Amino acid sequence: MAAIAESAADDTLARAREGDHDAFAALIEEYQSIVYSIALHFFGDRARAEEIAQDVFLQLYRSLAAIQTRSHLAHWLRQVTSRKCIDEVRRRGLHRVDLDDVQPSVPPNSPDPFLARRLRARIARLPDLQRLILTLRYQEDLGPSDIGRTLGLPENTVKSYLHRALTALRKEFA
Amino acid sequence: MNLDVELKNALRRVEPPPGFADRVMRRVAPASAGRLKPARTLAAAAALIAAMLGGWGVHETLRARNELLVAVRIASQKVAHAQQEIRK
Repeated sequence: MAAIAESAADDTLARAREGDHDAFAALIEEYQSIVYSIALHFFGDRARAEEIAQDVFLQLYRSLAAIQTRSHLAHWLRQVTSRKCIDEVRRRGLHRVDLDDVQPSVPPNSPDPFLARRLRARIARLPDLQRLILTLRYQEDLGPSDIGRTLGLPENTVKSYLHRALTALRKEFA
Repeated sequence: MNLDVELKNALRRVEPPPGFADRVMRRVAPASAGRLKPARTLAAAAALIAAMLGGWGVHETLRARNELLVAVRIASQKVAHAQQEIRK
């Protein structure tokens, strides 16, 4: 069943590469939450997250010929989104806003909605790279090696940033 | 408290506002106008060559028609001249 789904997704990718707009729209719908969420957790700003996400998919459209598989596509999207977030901060000197004001409603399965909100507010105050690494670790469930490949950083550097971020959070929440 | 679990919850994936894909596709449409597929590029090139050849064909036809008119005009002048000579 999973093989059939994967084959269908690869077919969608192939059709999008051939210029099929419906197939490309289907790819956007499948991967939009990855891209949008990385940008949202980084900036804490829905409008900016949408802007970044649109730019990423526009860039994807122009780069489709180079994307061969689903896993390559997911890696490419995480990598380009992360780079765009960092570039945007450097270019405009932006600062992240408090996620408390912009996060959607807390899901019903959350054990403590107020804790999640306080946690996001604390993550918002972490340095940019620590916040991005934390997002790739917990949103995308990537290990330090994959995060390193995504951001172009050595694995040990990723582990070090992750350790610092988690230490800061544990001081307040553990 | 399990910090890992809480972080996964706090940093979960979020869907963008409805209509996101449509908004992207509206930006993709103008971008794709300048991005022809190879097959379409070949078709466009073939159409251009056909148009050029067609134009060349029309040009040749017009030239032949003009030459024929000139030839007819000369012939009719010569016939008229011959008739005048006969009358004399």
